[in-house]
Parts: sequence; C-alpha cells; structure tokens
Amino acid sequence: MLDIELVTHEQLDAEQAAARQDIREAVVFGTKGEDPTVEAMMAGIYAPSPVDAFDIAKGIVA
Amino acid sequence: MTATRTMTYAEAIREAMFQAMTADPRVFLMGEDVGIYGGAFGVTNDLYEKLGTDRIRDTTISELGIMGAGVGAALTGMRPIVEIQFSDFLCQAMDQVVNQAAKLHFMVGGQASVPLVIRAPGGSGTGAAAQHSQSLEAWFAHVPGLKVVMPSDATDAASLLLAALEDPNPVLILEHKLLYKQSFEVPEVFPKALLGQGRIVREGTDLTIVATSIEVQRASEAAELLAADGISAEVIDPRTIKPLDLPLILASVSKTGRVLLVQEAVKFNGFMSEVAAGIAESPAFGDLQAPIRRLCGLDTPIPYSPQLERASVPQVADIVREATALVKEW
Repeated sequence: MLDIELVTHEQLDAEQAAARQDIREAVVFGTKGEDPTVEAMMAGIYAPSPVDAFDIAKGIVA
Repeated sequence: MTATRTMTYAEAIREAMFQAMTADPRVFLMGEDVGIYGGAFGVTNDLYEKLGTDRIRDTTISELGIMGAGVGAALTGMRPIVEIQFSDFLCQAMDQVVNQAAKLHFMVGGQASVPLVIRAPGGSGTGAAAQHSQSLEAWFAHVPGLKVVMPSDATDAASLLLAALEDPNPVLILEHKLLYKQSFEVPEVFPKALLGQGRIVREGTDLTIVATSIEVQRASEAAELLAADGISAEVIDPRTIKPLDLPLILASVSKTGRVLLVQEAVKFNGFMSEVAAGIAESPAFGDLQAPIRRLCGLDTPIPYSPQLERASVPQVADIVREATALVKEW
C-alpha cells in the first residue's frame, strides 16, 4: 500500500494510534464497568426466536 | 374434517424445502449429490430441475467446507440448508458446527446470528454398518447454542423443517433413513410447528413411553400390542430434543406412574439419560410407582450383519417386553 501510494506513513501511524486508543478505552470499560449478570449470559446463548416454545430471553431451554 | 393426502417422509421434506425456497429468496440448499443425482436418499430428487443451480448447490466432498460455507452464508443474511449425506459425516464438520455455528451469536454479544439449518440422516436398519448408521443426537444436544430436531413422521419432517428455517439459530435436523421411503397421511397444508413442543402420540394410563425418531413408530406399534394385553401405554414424541418439552413428559409420568424411555442410540450418556435425570429431579419423581427404565441401543458399533443390526437397537418386541415387565413387576 505504501509502495503504490495508497497510504502514507503518517496515515498508518494515525490509524495505529486510533486503534490503540480504542483498545485502551475498551480495557477501561471492561475493567471499570459493571460486571455482566448471569441472566444476561444465559439470555445470550440463543437469538430470540419466533418459533421456540420456550422463553429464550430467560435462558430456559427445557 | 381436514383433507389429507399420502406422501413419503422424503417427499414431505422435499415439498417443505420447495415451499420455503419459493417463498424466500434467501433459502438455498447445498450438499453432496443434492443436485443432478437428487440426493443420496433421493430427498431432493427433481428440485435441481425446478429451482436451478443457485438454489440447489452440489458441493465437493468436504463436510467441513460445506458447513463453513453454510455458517458464512447464514452470517451474511442467507438462510442456508446444509445436507450432510449421513449424520456420521458430521464428525468431519464438528469444528464449524460446534465451535462456530453454535458459538458466534454468544461471542459477538448478540450482534449477529447464524440461521443455519443442517439436515442429516441418522439411524440404522439399512445395512450401512458402523460408519453410516449411528445415532449421535446426544453429542449435539450437549452443545449450548444448537437446537436438535428428530422428526418421526412426514408431517413433522416438513413442519419442523419449516420452523427451523424461521429460527435465527443453528438447527440440526436428524432425519431417520428408514423413514424416507415410508408413506404417511399428511394434511394439505403442513401445520405450523414450534421447536420445543412435544406431542402425545397416543394416550394411555398404565405407563408412559417416551421415544424418539423411528422408535416413536415402534413404540406406537408396541402400544397396540400392549393394549391387546390390557396394558394402556401413553406414547410421547418430544419431536425436538433441544429445546426439550420436559413439562409434557413430567405431566404424563405423574399421570401414569411408570416410564419407559426408548431410543436407538446407545444407552451410556444418551439423550434418554437426560430425560431420566429430568424426571428424577422433578416432583414427578414422587409419583413414580416403579423405577425409571431405559431401553436403548446396545453399547456397540452398528454391525453389518442384518440379524445383529436389528438386535443392536430396540425393536417392537423389545418395547412390549420391557413395558410389560414395568407394569406387571411393579
């Protein structure tokens, strides 16, 4: 990409810095934010389904 | 009275796929020999001529590759049906089924889903021996994120397939190869089905027989013979083993006080072990008048010898014998 002048070193450095900043913010969010609940975990296994006889949102499959 | 017609299990699946593909441009089928050849068991038959190569896609002999393509298509908004020639060959595709299809919705925090339908014939009875005759449903029901369906007649084969195509999650449909050529009475319009809703095939009062797939048919035949001997058996078909309609089973067990659990798969760590545990953990356990009994396949690879093949999985006479013992000895 550099050889064919699609990007410059400065642009790549800026992208890298932005990516690092995103990661830093994600780490802060992950370590400082509220812990997810067990209920949220169980509700995230299956996508809500219009044809499931059970309440997937509550994580009940049987 | 609802009008009915006669069709085979395979024809019902074919009609349901045709119905789904003509109604929804996102639905397509891919698998080995599903096109020109019409499927290893003739399930797709002439769909290739009717719908063309965009919708009925012959693939290379690579189950992992086929399944990966199915997962990718599902992630991008298509509604793929992947046919695996024999359910035994799912072993080749396990990473895509278990580590990708079942996990991705969870791992991306619900930002994507995998509406993939996998159809695969299982079970013994065709002389196909150890590598083409297994009943592996318990493996897949053990994986959070997958749904597992086992239709026992033509109507359910169609209705549950149509339901699976409406579900945004990966659904594995284990068809039974001995049922493909059997004829059934089916309604003019396939009824809407829910995944996780079992059915009482036959009502009874002396014992409950829970059976899956072709064993539902054998249990029903056994119930006829038992009735002639004065034993009233209630036969329950869970239809989907995950999600499982445990409340239906528990209500029946509480009513009859005895339960016989019948599956073709080997007993050890099988699906019926889960059903037995579900009963034992529930208040219905207190209504039992006899121990829970399981009748399952022997703990052996399916043999090639026809006589041994029959002997290795529950037959009608075995169900009659076990049910009779359960009622008369307790």
